[in-house]
Amino acid sequence: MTAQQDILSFKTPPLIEVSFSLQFEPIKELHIGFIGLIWDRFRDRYPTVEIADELAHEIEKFGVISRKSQGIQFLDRVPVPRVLFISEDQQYLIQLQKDRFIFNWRRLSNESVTYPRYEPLRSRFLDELEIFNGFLAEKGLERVSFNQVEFTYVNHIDAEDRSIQQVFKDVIDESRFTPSLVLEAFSVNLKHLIQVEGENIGRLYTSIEKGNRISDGRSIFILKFVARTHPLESTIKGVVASMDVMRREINDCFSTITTEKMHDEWKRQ
Amino acid sequence: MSALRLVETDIRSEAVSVDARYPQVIRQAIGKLNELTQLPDNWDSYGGRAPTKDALMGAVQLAMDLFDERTPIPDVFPVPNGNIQFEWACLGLDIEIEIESNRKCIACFEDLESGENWERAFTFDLTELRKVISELTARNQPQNRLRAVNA
Repeated sequence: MTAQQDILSFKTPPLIEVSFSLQFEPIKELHIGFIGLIWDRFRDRYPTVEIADELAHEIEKFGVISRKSQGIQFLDRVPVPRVLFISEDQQYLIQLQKDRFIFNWRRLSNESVTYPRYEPLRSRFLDELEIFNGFLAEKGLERVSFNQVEFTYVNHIDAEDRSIQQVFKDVIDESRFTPSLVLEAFSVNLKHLIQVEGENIGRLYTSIEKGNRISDGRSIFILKFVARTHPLESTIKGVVASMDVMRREINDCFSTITTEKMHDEWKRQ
Repeated sequence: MSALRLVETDIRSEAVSVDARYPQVIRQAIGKLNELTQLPDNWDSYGGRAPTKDALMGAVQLAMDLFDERTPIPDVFPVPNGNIQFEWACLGLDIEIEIESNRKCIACFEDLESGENWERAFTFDLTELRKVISELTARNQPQNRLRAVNA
């Protein structure tokens, strides 16, 4: 059986967002002026620009004391923004800052929007990355040296008429509690090391929460996966190989923690 | 004025100072690093480069990655190439860590008791470095300090 055949696939998956993020050594010369020029390369397909706070430079380390996420800032530093280029239909985003290139697909409130699937998304991401790399080369800026690849999948699963154990395996059995206790919220967080041939290359963070969808207030389970690895090589080929490893781990984890009943409901292919 | 501070990095929330949550050794190391943010170029009158932001931030991160409550406070030095050095020469151990950034440091280690010594570059797997800092921390326990003094 090939790697592709092993991948769990659904006709109507509960995915609402997929993000590919590449982190590289900061390009010091990539000032706000260049960001404006880069937008020109994407503007016809991503006509809207937004500004957001810069994301921290994240490195997965091994053998260190595990502490709650923290960072360090210079108080006098002028913030360098993260810019978001947004497609006309709002489904696709490119996010850019001096040490990150991020590509997102998202399903907003429109239920009829279908998930474009992994391979086409990966292909589009690589095309956009090539445009960015081409710009850097043309302007004589530093060539990117990738140091982290991140992959995020966010799923919204309707929880209006479903118990936790109808959706997730072995998480919590609500029926064990007395009827006078009605579960209102819960949260599960898992952190796994990702290994290749016994070597730690990254981590997979899995979280499950119950909440309410902003658009209509419906009760939902939010199942989120964030995988972050050191690229197998600091090249596009290494990035692609890392993405495929992370996709496989996320897919396996999804398959492990969700029930067969839900697989059927999402129309397993 | 330049200064370092620890912040939450939850991308969906505003940054919040969390200095008080960390062990004293980390806060003291940050205090020393803050002093080094004031160094100008040529601080040693031999053309020494002012500590780089990458090195300063890498030093804070390394302290958080490795130090616990009982870790002895290191000496913190600027290096003329802009890097930062943590150094311990106590409890029978000599440890020097030259920090270039959060992604790279070089450590020299010598155990005066066993004679073990090495010099190594570290990137994202700090397991071996953590072991020597843990050994230093273990020797700093009151019962072990007596043994170290009497040895």
